[in-house]
Amino acid sequence: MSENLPPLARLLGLVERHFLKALAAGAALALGAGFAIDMHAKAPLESFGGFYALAGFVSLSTVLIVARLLRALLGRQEDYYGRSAVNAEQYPADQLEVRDREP
Amino acid sequence: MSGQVAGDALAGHAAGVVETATAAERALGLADHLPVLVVLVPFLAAPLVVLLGARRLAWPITFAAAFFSLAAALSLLSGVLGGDAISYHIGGWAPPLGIEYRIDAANAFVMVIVSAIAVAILPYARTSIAAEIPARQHVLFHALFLLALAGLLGVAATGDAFNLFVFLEISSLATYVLVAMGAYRDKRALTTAFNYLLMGTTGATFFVIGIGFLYMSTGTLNMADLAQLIAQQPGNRTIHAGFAFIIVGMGLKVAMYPLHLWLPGAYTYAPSAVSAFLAATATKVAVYVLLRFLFTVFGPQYTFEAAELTWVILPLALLAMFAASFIAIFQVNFKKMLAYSSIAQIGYMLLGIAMLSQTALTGAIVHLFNHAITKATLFMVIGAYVLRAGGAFYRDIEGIGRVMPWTSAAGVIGGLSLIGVPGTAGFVSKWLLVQGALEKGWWWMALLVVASSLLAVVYVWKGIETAYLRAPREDVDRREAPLTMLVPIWIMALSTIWFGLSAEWTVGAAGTAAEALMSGASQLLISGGAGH
Amino acid sequence: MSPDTLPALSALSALPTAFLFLPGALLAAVLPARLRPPLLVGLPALAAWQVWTLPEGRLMPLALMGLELELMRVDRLSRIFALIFTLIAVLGNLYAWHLRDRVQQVAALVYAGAAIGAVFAGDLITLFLWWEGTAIASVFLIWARRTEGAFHTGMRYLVVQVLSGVLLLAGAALYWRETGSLDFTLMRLGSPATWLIFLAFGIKAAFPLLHNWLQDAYPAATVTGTVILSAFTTKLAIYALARGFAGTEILIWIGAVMTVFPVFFAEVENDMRRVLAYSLNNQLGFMVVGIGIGSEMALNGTAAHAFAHILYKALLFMSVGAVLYRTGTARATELGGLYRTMPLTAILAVIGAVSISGVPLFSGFVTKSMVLSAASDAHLWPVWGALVFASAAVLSHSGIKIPYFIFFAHDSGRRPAEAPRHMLLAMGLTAAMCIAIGLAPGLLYALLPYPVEYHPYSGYHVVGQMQLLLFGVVAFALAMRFGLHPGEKRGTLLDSDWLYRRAAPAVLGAAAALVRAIWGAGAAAVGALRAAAMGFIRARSGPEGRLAHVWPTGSMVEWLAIILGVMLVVVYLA
Repeated sequence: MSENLPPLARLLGLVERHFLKALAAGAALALGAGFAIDMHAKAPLESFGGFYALAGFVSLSTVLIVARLLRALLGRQEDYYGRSAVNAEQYPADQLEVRDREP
Repeated sequence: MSGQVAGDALAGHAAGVVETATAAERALGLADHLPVLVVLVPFLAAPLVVLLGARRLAWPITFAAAFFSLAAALSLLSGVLGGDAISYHIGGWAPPLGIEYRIDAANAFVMVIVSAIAVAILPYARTSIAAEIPARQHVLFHALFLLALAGLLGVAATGDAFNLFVFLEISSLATYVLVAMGAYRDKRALTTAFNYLLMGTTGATFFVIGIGFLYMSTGTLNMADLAQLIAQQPGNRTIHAGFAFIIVGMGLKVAMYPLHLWLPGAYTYAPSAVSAFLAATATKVAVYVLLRFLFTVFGPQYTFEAAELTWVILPLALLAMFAASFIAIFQVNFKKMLAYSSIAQIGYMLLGIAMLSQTALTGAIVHLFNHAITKATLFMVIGAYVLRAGGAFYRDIEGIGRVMPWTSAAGVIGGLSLIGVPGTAGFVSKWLLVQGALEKGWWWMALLVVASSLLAVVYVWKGIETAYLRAPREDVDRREAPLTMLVPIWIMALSTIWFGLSAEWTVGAAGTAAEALMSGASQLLISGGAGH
Repeated sequence: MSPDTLPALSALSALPTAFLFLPGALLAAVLPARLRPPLLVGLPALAAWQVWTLPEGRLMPLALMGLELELMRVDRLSRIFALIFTLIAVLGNLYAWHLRDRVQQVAALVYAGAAIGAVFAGDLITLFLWWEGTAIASVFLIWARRTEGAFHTGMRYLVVQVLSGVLLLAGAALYWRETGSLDFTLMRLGSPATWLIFLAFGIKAAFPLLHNWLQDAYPAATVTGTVILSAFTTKLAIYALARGFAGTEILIWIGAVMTVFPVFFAEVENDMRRVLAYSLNNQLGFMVVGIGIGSEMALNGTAAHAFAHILYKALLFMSVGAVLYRTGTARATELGGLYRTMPLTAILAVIGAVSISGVPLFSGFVTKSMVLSAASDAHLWPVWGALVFASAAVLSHSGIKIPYFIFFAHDSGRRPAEAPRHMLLAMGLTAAMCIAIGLAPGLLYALLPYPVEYHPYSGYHVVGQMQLLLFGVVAFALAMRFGLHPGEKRGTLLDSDWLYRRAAPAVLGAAAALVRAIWGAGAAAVGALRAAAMGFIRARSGPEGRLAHVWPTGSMVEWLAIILGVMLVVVYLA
């Protein structure tokens, strides 16, 4: 990396690069454990060892798909409520301290 | 110095007169001389200020004298709030030959107003005149201020008709000069003062002619004595003529519409501190004199039932409430707007008098007080504007609310009180007036009072709009008023709120005064008879 | 530290906590800028100490105009809410240490004081007063942005909030007539009075369709204002519902809807602070469900979740605020890859994200699961299902979207400096509390209204939660990989505010046009008349009018003579 980044940022970069591998490993582990231990099921279907994995996957997929529909249906231009509505305006710069990191 | 015991007169009368005892009976303490000292101290302080001639000393002496008067007036008021009256004989000469000072709730109340306003305005005046009047005139200013104050207090305190005229002239002459001192800022003050002199003198002349007529037919100048003798000759045309002259002469001093023409100019071009003092006190004292003559000397019976005067004063009062308010709306000078508003407010007081009921009269007297503090606030605010913005025209004070937030906030409070918004002093008196009208079944009158208050909303709003909703001018001195002005302004502003929220004291004192006035001649006639 | 050892401080217990804040606010109004931040942090800390040491009971009864009021009702339920309110006031004001805006600082103190006053209110009138107090104080945090948009948003916010207060007052008055009591205790829905009160609470709690003031206002407030706003108003409503309507069945269904619908909006919203506002709404749903169930476990869950939620939600708002503070924007489309230069903020944001998502060892896990358990204990399966779905969905916007699109994802090219130190400190402390609650839930459980018999860290629970979360992330990763994710896009989302921002004005506009047409004809006539009248008056009263002449000595004497004449005639005739 050509940029001179703080050490903590390098660490986070490392995490980002290896995130998918770690995720796959963790997911597999959790799924395996679900079948290995007693899930103390109370709800119907909960006794199935991969119930929560399925629930998580399906829920998120649903959210993402429905959200796409929602945007198509309800999405408008930023200045829909006028050019001076909060959505369309810039945050007043005099109340901020916008600054770049010194290299 | 001696007084006399009026045991025979006191006996059998509900409202007694506390006469000072003879020197032989007991030594007179300082407290017994308060009725005269309250006038004498500022009166004598005036030459003292001039003789000393030191600018440094002028203000402290003036303030001390005014403060003494306030303390004395308060002490007198507390003594007569029960409904008693104090009679004091100058030099020990018994009335009707000697001059009598007679203090009851009505004039003690007026003296408290006058001296309290003087005490509140003096600290403010110190800064204000420094900017508006050249330093070499400051000693003179203070002396004149003292004379005006002493004159006004004397008018209130005295029980002698001619003595009253003398004090009236003392205060008026001092006032003409004070107004003329505005010439250092605006030369028009000179013509205005001259005008004011002519008109004021005409009014005073009418008044003294009236006194002359009365003296001609009764041979006395003591008011209590006059009351008794007038009641004995109901058909006397000379007395009728005297009555008309006195009312018209005082009507001019009161600025009763349409005899108000001296007022707008005088208030506009006088130095700010003088405007504030005059607006708060001079017309109020004149209203008191009117009250005193209408109710005490001639008696409510004579005045209103025999003379049908209600139907002369009432239309004039209504005319003032509306015509002056309309004129105020169209003004472009803040001070002048307030001056016209004062004329309209005097209309309310005359209305309360003309309605001739206990409640309405109480309303009129409370309005004396409430309008005094309200107008003092507003004129002091204007004075602060003049100091920083250099003028009182609307165009001078555009957007000044942002530059002088504290001053302007006090101005808003004053404006609200002028309208009569609940929670401010102005509300209390208007409420009483409306009550008085409703008691009489004059609901149309109540509506008119409310309607003219709506006109006040318009002119007050114009002021607020100018001060807050316009962009501030670039060339003005962009600073808040100095603390020496701000503190008195806020004392006044807060007192308008204070007396708006807790009205017991003002309404109580005014109620006592109104009761004394309404019971009118009969009571004074008898107690006055004690002198013989 | 017992009160006896500190006599000066023991006097504090004689003062209602809220009244500590009001003089403080007055003081803040006059103190120089340098001294205000310490006051803003110190005063809530003092209040927190007071709340901690207060004995339980009705401490400050007050009879006023024949009404029995109670300023300080201290019990376990009010104490935990008051405690978290004071804590978040400390943290939020620490975060705002750089602020020199007197308006915001005074408003923050008054707002916190009013919210705490409302929590301790033992009667409906006191509750109403503080309820409106929060409304009025908080709007200044929006107006403090000082833009036209913020002004209009603030107005809308104020109208809604004040409406809530007015409904509460009306309800309280009816309630008083019905029962003769103003006591703020458990109520039963059924009479108009209780429905009005319920509706008032519902507005502030952002019930579905009454919710949009929240998403409208919070992104419009200032950087620091949003942090403060996020803590008080809605949680005050949650407290009020828990106090007044625990066990009211309809709340279960309202809560379930609340947890579900905002997640879709949050997914496509571009303004990160609005995303968090939708997320806040979703979290409130969990609490409302808990109140609706009304069992001890459920109410404990609600209180615990409110406590934890205030912390991690504030942490998230703080981190987004820090980014806004450094970059000038909170739009997802303009951000990305900021971890390179703001690593600390990134890590703190991730802590907030994993807390809200309910990752084991963080605070959300140990509190949210109490509500879920209460639902499954009550065999409310559809509701339980909604909550499981919502738990996964939270992950999507708050757990992934916020940190991922701001700090990772594509590099926006921005290289902002790290957040200022005081912000990092505030976020660090907040994050530490999130972790502490996650590691040692017993600390929080000990404060709950009822005794707790709950152990979150059982193997099956941890495994189930990890499955849910990890496969959720898997779904997200796949969606990103195959371009199915809705992604970031600039724009405005229509929500229920469309009804009053667009539909109502349009309908009214049409109606107004009709009326205007009819009115116009009449008004023209009246106008002409009025112009004539004004001309008449102006000609006489205006500056050039006869009545306002300034050189009138002669005319004055004329008048004098006329009046004297009239007078003499009247007097002689009489």
